[in-house]
Amino acid sequence: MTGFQIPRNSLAWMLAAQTAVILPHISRMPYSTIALCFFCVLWRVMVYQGRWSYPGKWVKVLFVFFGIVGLGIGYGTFLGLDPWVGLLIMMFVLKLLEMHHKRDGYVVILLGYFVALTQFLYEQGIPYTLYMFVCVIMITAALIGLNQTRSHLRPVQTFKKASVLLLQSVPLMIVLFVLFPRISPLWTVPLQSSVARTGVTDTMTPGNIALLTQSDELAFRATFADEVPPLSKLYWRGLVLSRFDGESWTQELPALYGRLYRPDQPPPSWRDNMELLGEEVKYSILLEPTSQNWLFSLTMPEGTDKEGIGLVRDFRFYSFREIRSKLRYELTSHLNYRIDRDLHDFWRYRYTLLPVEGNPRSKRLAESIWDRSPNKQEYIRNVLRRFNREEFVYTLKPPVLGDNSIDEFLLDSKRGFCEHYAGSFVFLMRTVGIPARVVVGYQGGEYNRIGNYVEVRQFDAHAWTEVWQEGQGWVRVDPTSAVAPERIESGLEFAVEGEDTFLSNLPLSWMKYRQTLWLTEIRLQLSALSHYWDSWVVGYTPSVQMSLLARYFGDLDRKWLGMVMMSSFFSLLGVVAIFILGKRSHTLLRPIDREYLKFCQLLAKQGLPRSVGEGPLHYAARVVQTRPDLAPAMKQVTDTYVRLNYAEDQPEKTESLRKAIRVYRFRNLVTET
Amino acid sequence: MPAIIEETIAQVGSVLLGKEHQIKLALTCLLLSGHLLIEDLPGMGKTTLSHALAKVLNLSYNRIQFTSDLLPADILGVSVYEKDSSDFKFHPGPIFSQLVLADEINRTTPKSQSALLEAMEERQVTIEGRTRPLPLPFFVIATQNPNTQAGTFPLPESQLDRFLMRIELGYPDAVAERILLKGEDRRAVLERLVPSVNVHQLQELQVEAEQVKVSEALLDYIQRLVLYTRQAPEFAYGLSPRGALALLSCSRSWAFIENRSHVVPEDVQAVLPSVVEHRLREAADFSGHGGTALAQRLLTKVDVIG
Repeated sequence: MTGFQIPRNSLAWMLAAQTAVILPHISRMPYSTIALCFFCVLWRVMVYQGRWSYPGKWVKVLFVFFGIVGLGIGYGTFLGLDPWVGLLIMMFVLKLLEMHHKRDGYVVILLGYFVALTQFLYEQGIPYTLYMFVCVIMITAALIGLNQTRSHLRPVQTFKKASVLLLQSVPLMIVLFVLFPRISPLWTVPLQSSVARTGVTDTMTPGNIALLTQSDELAFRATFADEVPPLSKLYWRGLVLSRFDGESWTQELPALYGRLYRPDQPPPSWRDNMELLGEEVKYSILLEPTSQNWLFSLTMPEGTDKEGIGLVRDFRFYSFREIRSKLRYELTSHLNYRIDRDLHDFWRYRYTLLPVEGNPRSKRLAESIWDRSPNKQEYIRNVLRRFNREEFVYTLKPPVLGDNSIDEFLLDSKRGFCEHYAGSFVFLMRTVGIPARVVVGYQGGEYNRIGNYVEVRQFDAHAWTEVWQEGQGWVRVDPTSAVAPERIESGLEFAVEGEDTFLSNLPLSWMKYRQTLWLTEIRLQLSALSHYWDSWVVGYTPSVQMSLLARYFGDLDRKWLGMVMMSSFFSLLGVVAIFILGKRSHTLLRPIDREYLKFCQLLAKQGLPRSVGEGPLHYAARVVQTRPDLAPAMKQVTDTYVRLNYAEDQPEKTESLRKAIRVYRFRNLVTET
Repeated sequence: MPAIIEETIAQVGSVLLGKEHQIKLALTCLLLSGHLLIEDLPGMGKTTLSHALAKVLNLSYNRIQFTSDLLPADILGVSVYEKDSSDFKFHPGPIFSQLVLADEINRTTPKSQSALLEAMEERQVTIEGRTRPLPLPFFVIATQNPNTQAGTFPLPESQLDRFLMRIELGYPDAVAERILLKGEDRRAVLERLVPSVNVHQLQELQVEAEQVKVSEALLDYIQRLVLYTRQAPEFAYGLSPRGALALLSCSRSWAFIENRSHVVPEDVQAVLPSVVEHRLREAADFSGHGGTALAQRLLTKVDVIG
């Protein structure tokens, strides 16, 4: 153990930075690890104060052992990201206990930068980024402190210096962020695959969408190229559910759908069944991670150019990979369309299929309405009229239903959410042989005029239906609009206004205060800011980078860009190096000194180098002591040099010195041979 | 080296055995009319050196033994009422002498210390409203016990700076010690010394020493040295311009003693420890020691050529 003490400033900032860097992780860490971290910091402070000494080898081994056991018990596994981040943090803190040398201090500081980085595996929002910037300043302050003498006693000064340093590097950061070639990772870590995410699922049971609406989490943001269509027309199609087992609705078997429509393959035959009419709406969607495969689009989308995404037979998008990070995709939709004008008999059969058993009263109800209706259109209208006229209530708190859920809903409780209406509507359609299916997704959203985008949150989740009609194909029918038209026009909040159930479990949600104008204004501003951040910083992927650079520099190759970056970086380094080295060796040296140093190098090759603080006379004396044979030559050169440099002050006249050195070389040559 | 100086050194060397380097340093200092501080343990020959120098250089010599109850009047002198003339007559103190040995300066109180140090700086004394010049040339050789010994009042940095040089004598080597043990009493040898210069010659030597040439290359070296003390982290503070000037003039004077017409880096290196050690303090050491180590760093880390 050496006497090296980490300077006070450095240690203070090191501990502060360490705490700050670990803080965001604390909610994910087991208690034992937190306790260990705390204890290590305490021990280090005690060591600094001279009260305790560094722990011995076996104590440290014990710490590591129990630390790892604690992690194992706390997380229950060593697979996945969390335990490894926990291990990194634990080692980072344990390293404090063996900071014997300055080098150990550097290790802790570098680890600090690394741990700061791991936070971005979990969160990439603006607040965390700002927080991490502060952390990086603190770590840098520790780095500066490590190189300060003990007379620097004011930590604030060190912090200021670090801040100035980092602020100075911001332009470089921006340039590198924008220009530096983005390389796809060489390997990937499974990021939080186990984390449950709220979102639309591929099964619809009465009650599960109502549950979803308890969340104010962001689902996606859609930015429109032109004017935003009215909210009531924004049906974000996600999934088509057409199989009913008496209780829940699920997707059609994928095998029946056949080939997907992908950008890299010729269109499948069913693509001809799409007739897109009217004006096109161009928009891009930045989807939050869902851990699912389906994507959302306005009815009715054209295909997509994005790789890894395909259009399914039921006209919705499917991603081949689970969406685990934010995904941006561009789409063009047509609000008017005609799809599947001719429906094959097989599909007619599939879309009218119902379980034989169950819900007998609803079936009778359907037949009685059918008897009253002259044609199919009139039948649909009668069913909707029934929803509208009878005492149906649109509520977030529907009663629990039994086995014959549709019977109970339609004839007894008459209280339900969109999935009740959509499900029972399709049931009524299918009972009389009209092909129908349930569509789930989101409806509406909130228009943000600052960023010109529509923000869709989980409580905008919705279920509606599509009914196939002769000559028109699939027509969207939203039974909810018959019961609660304000849901479609203004959103859920207004549809359940009197009930006080909107986000009742989130008393402090921003969303509950939409009527308070100034709060809404602030919320929209923040949301727009976060949207720009998501699309331009977090969403600055290799492809976005290439298209951005292409816009300003024309088409360029990524390899070429990398080469330009690297070569300009190294040439910059080279210029700096030449500047530093040149200053040292050539630009400021007098001609006479240059000659003399060359002479010294000749001697150095013979094993007699001049040391830095050695004057010419002492050097000559030392050389002669070991090599008496060199005495005359040494005397000649040294005398000439001293005369020119110190007596006559004529550093430009190198002639006689050169001559003396030539004489030395010649003599040396003779002696050697 | 000039014959007079050679003789001087030889004479002093016959009393203070084996300390030629220190004698030369002391002469260097005196040639510049600078004051000298000798710091060492008691009995190392501090007094002998100064006494011998006074004798050989033919200077009037006074010794003040500093004690803890010494008063400024004991140094400067005092006016005493005389019955005969019924007037006050000034009795000059021991300071009125060409070479003053202030022995064990750090044993006295700061008040008396500063009385001496003021006289050193001003080269005159003001008592009872009258300013009396001190004789010319005027040198003070102060001796100091190491600060760690009991009963010492360390001199503050600002007053240490008044001394052009600080030297240590150190133990004699074995050969010198044997001669010392076998030979006669040093006091007797001291008595036999004859002056080798007169005041006039000494002043001439001083003028000659100023003629020694200093080249640009050498000034560069001195500036590099000074810059290093100001930039390197181990120095609590750098050398002052006064310190740099002292280094330059001492180098010049040393070169003169070495009988050179120009200063070479070796001259700077020879005087450097004596000139800078008491003016520097190590950053990590608040007690004021460590100057020796710092001077060694300067000698090894700063490039002579460049």
